[in-house]
Amino acid sequence: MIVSCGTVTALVAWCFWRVLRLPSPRPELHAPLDIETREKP
Amino acid sequence: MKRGYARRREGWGSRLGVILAVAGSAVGLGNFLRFPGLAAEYGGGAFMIPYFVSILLIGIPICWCEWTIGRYGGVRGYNSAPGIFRALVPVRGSGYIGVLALIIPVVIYMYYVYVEAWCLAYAWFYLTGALDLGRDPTQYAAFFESFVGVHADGVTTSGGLQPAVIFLIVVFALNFALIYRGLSAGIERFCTIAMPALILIAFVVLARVLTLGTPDPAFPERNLLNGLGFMWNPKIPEGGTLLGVLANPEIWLQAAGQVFFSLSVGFGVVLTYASYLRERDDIVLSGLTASATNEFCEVVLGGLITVPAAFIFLGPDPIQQVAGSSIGLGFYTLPVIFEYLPVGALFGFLWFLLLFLAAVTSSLSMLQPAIAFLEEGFDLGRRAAVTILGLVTATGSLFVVYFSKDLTALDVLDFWVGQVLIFTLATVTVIVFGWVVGIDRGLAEAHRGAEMRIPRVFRYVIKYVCPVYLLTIFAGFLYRNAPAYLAKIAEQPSATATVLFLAVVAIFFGLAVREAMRRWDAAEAGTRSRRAHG
Repeated sequence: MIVSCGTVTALVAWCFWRVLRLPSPRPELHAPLDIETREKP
Repeated sequence: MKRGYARRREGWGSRLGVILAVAGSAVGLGNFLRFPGLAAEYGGGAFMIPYFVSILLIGIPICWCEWTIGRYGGVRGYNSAPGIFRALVPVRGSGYIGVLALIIPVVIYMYYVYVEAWCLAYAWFYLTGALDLGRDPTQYAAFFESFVGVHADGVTTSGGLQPAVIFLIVVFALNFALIYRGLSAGIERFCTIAMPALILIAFVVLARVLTLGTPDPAFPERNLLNGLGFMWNPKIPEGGTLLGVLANPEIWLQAAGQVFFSLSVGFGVVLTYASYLRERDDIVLSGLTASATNEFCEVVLGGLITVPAAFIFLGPDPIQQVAGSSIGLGFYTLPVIFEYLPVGALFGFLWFLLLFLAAVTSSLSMLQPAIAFLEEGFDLGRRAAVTILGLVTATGSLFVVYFSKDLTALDVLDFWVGQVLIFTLATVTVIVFGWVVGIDRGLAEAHRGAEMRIPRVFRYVIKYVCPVYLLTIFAGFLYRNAPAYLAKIAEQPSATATVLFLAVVAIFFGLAVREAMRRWDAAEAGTRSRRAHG
């Protein structure tokens, strides 16, 4: 029990520690692909 | 190649949001009900060895494959599995692989939302004091069977609105209200609140279980330590060894199956969720974090609550009778425990609220693949896509509710879609990744923008071990279960009707994918033509 629960807890803690200390991504710059042009092929 | 015409694309609001959404999709009733019963039945602590091996050999590698394929398709303008596979495998007709990834989540939603409604109903019953049936598990079994209409078909759909149907309508409306709000404002925002709330509630219930001690002096052996021991100590037969226990193929089959279904690999959901990421968003660490969160909910929270609590109050026999049955453990056995607990109604409410939240975060994820497909395949708006999917899934759910005798429709759909098709899609996905795309190209794509490297050994795991392991488990699974389900189709009219219904759904999505691919081909041909003419 200790090994199983300890391993999983350590893994999830390590993962969130890595994720939460990453810098926030820069705001998305909208390329033309992301703009609704209403242009039909 | 980018798609021929553009539409405004949705996207995730934050890295944490997408991780919680994927984890929410994976965390469901199986984490809290199926896993502990299975572990207790198949060797306790010994079960954890094949379980962890399966996580390493199939769970996490397939997750990484699905995240990678999904983001690859999303960058090329596709959020639905048919479009993603069409972009990934430049062979005519490759988009048809994606039909599986539409059928699976939509059909599972049809019955899963009904189970979700039971959880909400039980939480409501505890809140209002309507579920006070004493300490006899048979009373709870009888109540449940009457509530869902196990004794005859059509019971819950005749004679006015039955409670089970009312709760189904409420849950259905909630799911579609959230999905209508969109990916970030609906799914992500809900999961960002529901997942921490779910874990907090689980900790409250866990704290209560870990402070139970020896509640009944008449049974001194029924105490916390023995309860934990029953769940976690390796069960080795007298004169046997741990290696002897592990030599039983059944324990490997069950462990791999649990990991496989628990992580929601092969659902088609991760493909769609990952398609909303940007080209250089991390997927390796995010995929691992989502999987680890699911495992935390399963091993730590699921493993320490249900079976030890049931042992402390009821002893080992009732657990062994319902082991492996989520419905048995959740709706027959656990309500008895709440009768023994001081302020048991409060803990009953919290427990079923926890299950309900776990179920909603999963059911929401099942709707998004088809919504994305209807939007991009037929250029529909959100409202139209949600309406069409609402009609399709409502028809399916009513089918499941009507054929309630012995829960036949639910059981048959769960076997052929929730298990057989999932195995199939996961196997196809990992083979496409390792052999069609190529392991080098696939891992290079996974590492684009990655915050950590996939260890080199996974090259061989994904390419060789995963497909062989999956196919072996699949063959064993079919060998054990398929004859009984084939016989059921031949013998029970409701099972036959369910399979026919499934065939109709498959044809519907097959034709829809064909039409969508025709439109995509025409759009791309138009773009090429315009470019050629300046």
